[in-house]
Amino acid sequence: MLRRSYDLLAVVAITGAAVTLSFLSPGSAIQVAIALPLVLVIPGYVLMAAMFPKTMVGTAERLVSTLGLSLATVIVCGLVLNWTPWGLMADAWSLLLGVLSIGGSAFAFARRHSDTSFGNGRMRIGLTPRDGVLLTLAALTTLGAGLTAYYGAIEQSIPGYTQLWILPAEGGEETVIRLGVMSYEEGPTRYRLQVLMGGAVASEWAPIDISPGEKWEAVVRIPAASSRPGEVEAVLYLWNDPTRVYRRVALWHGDVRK
Amino acid sequence: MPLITEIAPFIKPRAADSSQSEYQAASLPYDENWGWLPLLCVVDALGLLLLAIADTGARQGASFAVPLFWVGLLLLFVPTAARLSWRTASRRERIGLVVVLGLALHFVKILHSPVNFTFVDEFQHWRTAEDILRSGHLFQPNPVLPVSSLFPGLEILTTALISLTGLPIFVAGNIVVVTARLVLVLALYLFYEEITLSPRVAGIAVLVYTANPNFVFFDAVFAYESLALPLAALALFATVRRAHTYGGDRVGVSILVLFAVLAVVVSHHLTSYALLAFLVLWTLQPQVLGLLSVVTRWLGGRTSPSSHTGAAATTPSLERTASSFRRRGRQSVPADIALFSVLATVVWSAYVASPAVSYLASSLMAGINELMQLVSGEITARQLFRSYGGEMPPFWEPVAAYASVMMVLALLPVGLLQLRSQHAANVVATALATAALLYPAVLPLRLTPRGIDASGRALPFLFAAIALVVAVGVTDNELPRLPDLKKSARFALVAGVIFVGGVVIGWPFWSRLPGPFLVASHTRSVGQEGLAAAEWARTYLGPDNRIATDFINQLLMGSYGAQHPLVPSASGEMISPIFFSSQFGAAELALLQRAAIRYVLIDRRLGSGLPMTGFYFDAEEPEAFHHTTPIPLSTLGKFDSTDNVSRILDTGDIEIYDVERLLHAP
Repeated sequence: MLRRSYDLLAVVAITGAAVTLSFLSPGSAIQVAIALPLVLVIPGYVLMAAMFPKTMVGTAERLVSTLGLSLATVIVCGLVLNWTPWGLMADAWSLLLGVLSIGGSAFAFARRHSDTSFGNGRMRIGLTPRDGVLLTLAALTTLGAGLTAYYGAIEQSIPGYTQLWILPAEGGEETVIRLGVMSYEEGPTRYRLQVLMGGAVASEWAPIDISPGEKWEAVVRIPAASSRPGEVEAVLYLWNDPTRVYRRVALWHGDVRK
Repeated sequence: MPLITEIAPFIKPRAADSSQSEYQAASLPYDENWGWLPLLCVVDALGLLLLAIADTGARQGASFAVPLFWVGLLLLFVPTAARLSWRTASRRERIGLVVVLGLALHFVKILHSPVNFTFVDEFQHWRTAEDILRSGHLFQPNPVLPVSSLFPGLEILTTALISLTGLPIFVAGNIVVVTARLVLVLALYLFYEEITLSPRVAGIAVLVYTANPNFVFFDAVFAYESLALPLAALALFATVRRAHTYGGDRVGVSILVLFAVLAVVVSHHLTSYALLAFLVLWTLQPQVLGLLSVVTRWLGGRTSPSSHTGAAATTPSLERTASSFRRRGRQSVPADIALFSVLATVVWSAYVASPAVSYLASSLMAGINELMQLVSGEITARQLFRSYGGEMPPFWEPVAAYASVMMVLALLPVGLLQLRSQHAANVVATALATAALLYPAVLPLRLTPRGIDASGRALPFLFAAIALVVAVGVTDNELPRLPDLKKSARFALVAGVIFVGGVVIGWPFWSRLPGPFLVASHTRSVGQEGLAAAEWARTYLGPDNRIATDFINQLLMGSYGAQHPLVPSASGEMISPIFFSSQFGAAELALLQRAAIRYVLIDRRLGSGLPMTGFYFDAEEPEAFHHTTPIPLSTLGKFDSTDNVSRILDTGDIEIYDVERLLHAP
């Protein structure tokens, strides 16, 4: 009997590995490979095995029912988890799907054991070596298509840009401001940054060198003399274009006024 | 074991399924031959490669991109169409062909956006998934699309996958949707095959279904319909299968049906309503026809001799049909499944998702109102295929679209007649034929700006019925002496036109390929600068700040930014006047205070062109669908000269203003 239930043993093994890995090393590549079937295949597979122990349905019917039932079962499980104190968190998912899969496998095993007419409906793959070559070629070409699209997207030439921001200090202290510059330019960029109060330069940083994807931040205290209600302005220049304002931000502080 | 011999036929079998009989005559293993599938996989892969090159070229503005896109699409569709029409293809090969075609057409969308979500609906559902991950619970308020969180099937699956794998939402969501696509094509094939007992008709019907306008793009995005449609197809297939399943297996199939129906109800409003409507139609149609027969007979007994003559000519045929339907009705109508579907849908709608009905009704009523205005001459028809920015597609695209619709309309009566003559006793086929009759009724809605939405929503459901009718019409009326090759060529031409027209109708030409920024144009308006601003907002502003901005940045801020954008359809606040006024005055201040807006995001690129979709902020804004000039830059820049408004972020094109101080202004 055990020989005829290798599939269920495999289900139990995969489930055990997926649940264990979800606790030990979440996010690892092997966990991804093992956890995918735990969500998309195994719930439906064990339910199908339990409901149809004689493997009467054909391959296409079994495939679509397995996948569809997995999707539907996980949705129902999500509703159930929502009503528990733990909610839809990773540990709760691991335990629920683990119990469902192993419990379903045990039930399916029992049904097969009690049904002496059970037989493994073997499917002949029926692929010739020529078919194998063609399918391999198709898979490689599809992979090539995916890589072409992917690298085409991430290397799309878009105009570079820079973010400049000004924010009040965390905690709302009105005499302290936070400044930041983040570069999304096409290459390393040199800037000059000025803080203006009442039109006069209160602080200046130059040069500021930032590589693409990197940021520069500073905290600035507004001098007491300048802390009357008004606008603090920060102006960013490109180093090689010192007269044209590249980015400008401003922060009002002090009492609200009309 | 082939399905044909496995199941007890519940309709009178067709004279013989020609594909099977020819196989048997040739002594070939009918169900164990892959035929041309491996070769056509290579052809499809080449088609995908061309599409990938077209996408990459389009990003650089290459002129070859559009022609290459169409060549790639046709390479996916036409050879498969031709092969599916051949009689000698095995069942296994046909299943393989429809699966490969369904997945390949799904990859068209993935190749279009291989790095991050770019389609409008994806951001709306991204937010629901993100909220579930953050809170661990369902039904969190979604400011971008409130009904999304009330139908969380897709997001439950996605977040389960994320919880167990650590994958990002983009990857996990796409895995779920690809799996659903596989379920869709397989379930549809098996559903049609159960009805017709013909692998050939089933294969062609799935092929016709893939030509529906939403198949390539809209139903491949990370959105609830992409999951619910496959589950509904599975429910239909299992319901048909249950009719001739007995003993313990019937319990199993029943559980499968109930799970699938329940998952549909939890996943998508419109699909659950469409499934419910079809199950009820399937259940009641035989009874209604039976009643009609009785009424006809009763009327026939009381009418005048002259009119009786006419009735007598038609009544016997109708009676035979109705009688046959009644017999079938007793045997195979899914009354219990329909009842379960009604109960589940009503309970879910009443206790969980009550806003869904008004959400759908408002969309439908807006379309119908505009249609009535159109009929009464109060408004003029929308110029089809033209963008609201004024651009026109190549001349042949509208031609293909009209030809596609005309072909479907022409093939429908042919298929309906064929169904009536050969499958009149088949209850589900008759119900599908009835549903297909709605197709001409939804077409006029496309003439109005708001009706196009309602019409587009209906097509994936109607095509499930249209596909069978057209497939029966095509296969039963082909010229018997024409060789396979010529028949295939003719069929592939017709199917190819329907498919190309479907793609033209389904997705606007400016958005089928990626490319440089366009104003208010769905995917072409989603760029790195907007995404980076949204991520900045999440990092530096914290979540759930009320923010007013344009339509595209509402999506980005509501998803990647985790903010609370004021979407008029969700919040009820019409905030667009703030953006259109040239000065910031008392009216704008009052509006801003009433809506309790904390931040305003201005995208200066809005001033560079007309909105391709007809509106900048929302469909109810002043001059929506009738803009003639872009918003002046001075109007967009008015916040720079407004006291107490802090310009806290400047990215070049995008600025975020903190207007909190105005909320407390007198």
